[in-house]
Amino acid sequence: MNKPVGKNRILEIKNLKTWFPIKRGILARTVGFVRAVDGVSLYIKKGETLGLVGESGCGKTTLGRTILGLEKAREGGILYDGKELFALKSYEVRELRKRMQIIFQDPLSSLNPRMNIMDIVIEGLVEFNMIKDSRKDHARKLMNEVGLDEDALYRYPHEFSGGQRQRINIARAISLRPDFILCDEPVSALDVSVQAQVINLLMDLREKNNLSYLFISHDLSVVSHIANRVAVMYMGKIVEHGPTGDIINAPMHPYTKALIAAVPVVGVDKRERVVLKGSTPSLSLPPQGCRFNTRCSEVMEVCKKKEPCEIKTGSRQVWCHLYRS
Amino acid sequence: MNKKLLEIKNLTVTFKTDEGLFNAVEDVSFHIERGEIVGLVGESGCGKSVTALSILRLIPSPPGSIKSGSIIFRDKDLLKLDPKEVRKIRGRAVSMIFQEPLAALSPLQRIGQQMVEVLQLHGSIKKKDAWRISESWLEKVKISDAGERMYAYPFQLSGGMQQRIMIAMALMLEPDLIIADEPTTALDVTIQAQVFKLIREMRQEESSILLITHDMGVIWEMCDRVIVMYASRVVEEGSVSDIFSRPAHPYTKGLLKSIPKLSVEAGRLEAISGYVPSPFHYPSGCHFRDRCPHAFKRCSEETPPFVDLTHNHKAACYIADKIISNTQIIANNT
Repeated sequence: MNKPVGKNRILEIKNLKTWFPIKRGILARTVGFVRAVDGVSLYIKKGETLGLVGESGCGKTTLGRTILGLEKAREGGILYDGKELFALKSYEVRELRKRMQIIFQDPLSSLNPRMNIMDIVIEGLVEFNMIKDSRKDHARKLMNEVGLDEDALYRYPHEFSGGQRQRINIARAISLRPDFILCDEPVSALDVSVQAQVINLLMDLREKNNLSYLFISHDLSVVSHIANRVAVMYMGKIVEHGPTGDIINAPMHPYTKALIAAVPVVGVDKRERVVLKGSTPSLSLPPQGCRFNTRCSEVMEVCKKKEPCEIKTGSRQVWCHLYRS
Repeated sequence: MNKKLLEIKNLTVTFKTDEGLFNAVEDVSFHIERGEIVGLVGESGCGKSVTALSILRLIPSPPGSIKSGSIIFRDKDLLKLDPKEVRKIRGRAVSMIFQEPLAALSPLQRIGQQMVEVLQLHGSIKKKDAWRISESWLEKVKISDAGERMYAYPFQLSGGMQQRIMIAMALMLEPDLIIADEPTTALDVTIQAQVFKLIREMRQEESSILLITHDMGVIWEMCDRVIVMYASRVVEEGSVSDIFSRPAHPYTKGLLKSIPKLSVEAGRLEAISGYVPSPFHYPSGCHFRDRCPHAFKRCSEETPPFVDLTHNHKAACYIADKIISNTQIIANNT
């Protein structure tokens, strides 16, 4: 069944499942699972950005954390540059850590308030014993790369604005010269007028260093600017995947259609939108059949019984009974 | 009858902190007409929420205090009323929908109790009747099994449902003015669309809404008129079509350009350079000048006054008429 791995793929995820047990009673017996990630397959090519879109609680952050080894997968596999991540020994994982970095949503809580900026941005380099000469030179260079003033080096995180803090996070993430960065909602917490700067910076860095991003966001418009491909996630599963332009111009899955329609867009005729009914069901009790069937506007009998399988058309995939291969 | 339901004149609100005194709102003036939806847009910390809280006299004092100005609501200055009279206006004449429904609802009381309390506080009504009215409001805001939900605690409901209940409570007394402070920021996009649809459908013809948001898309979708705030001051005011197609303040223009659009020709965004200044370090003169591509000497010397452009469209910039004339029409570009 396994397809041959493309040589140019930095990351390949196969049927990944991350479930969290629900424990009850004094003996803490497991009575069920929250199926945060429930059978996801994805790939990212070198130098490419994959956008992962979905509502809060759909499992997108858990998927990212599982890739970085911050959550334990229950099933499935992750190939990083051709190496099976779950089969690696701990020292090998430690080596790989250099190449995989993360940028979090909240730029303040991800910076240690007691460390100055210089110590923060070179912490990884120090940890891996990669500084042979002056620490300050390394730190200075990183500051320049992310467009921050060098005299900020001896200041502390609380002295900066949100946008500057996110730049510090980015400087730390690129310090070890990774080839993959997980960006988990990197601009959602920033002021509107600063979001664009940070998106531009991420795009510049990608070009300069041939970086690959997994860009997680709930905001399709942000993703449309930075991602080459988009995967839409709903209740632990990918429902649609394809090149960014195709997804935005001609969404196939009813959920993707609803997501796009829900974004108020300046200049588009207002007050004429399809509004999705209801809210996301609980992840511990997903609906039978297609998980979207409780909210879908085009629901059919088969949707309530059978889980849709993958329908491939060209470079796109969709999981929906409306389509036939 | 006066067409203006609410008029804020030269409102200045200061906050006292360990680091010193600063102006959270500085010389803000605008009005809301009957039946109008007015958007107040700006970034976090620009003073939009403080302006809204001042209307209801909800500024925590200390550290905050309303230094000067007046807020005329139905020909009465709200700032001159005594606390007892203000309490009569809150909820009944002016109600508020907050950003975090879970923080605004009491965690220890059932939904029904909280709604009944609102009705009983503002009118002599029997508990049984109040319960019935509350239940019918839950149905109006499209909560399924309204009868059962009346007995639910807030934490048992989803964010979208909690916000629906907030909306029901805000509309229940049929207020003249509804202040909605980022009512959907804590919600998912699909739920956000539901909530806005609901607000539009539910409000009375003659009631007005002050919608506070940082999202220009929401303004476009919902509002008749827009007030743009930057660093404690109003920088531009105009109809939705004026603001989106002919922005006259460099900040408004930059903001509209920098918003990521749902588009296929992805690419670099036109960002506004620099960062939002802290209220302790606002630049002299125009607060936007150190980020403004057009700034010149005079901008640092004195605060630019409002320039009237067309009917109801004004901007606080010396070169507003120049900015307006070389703006291509953004609304048609997307």
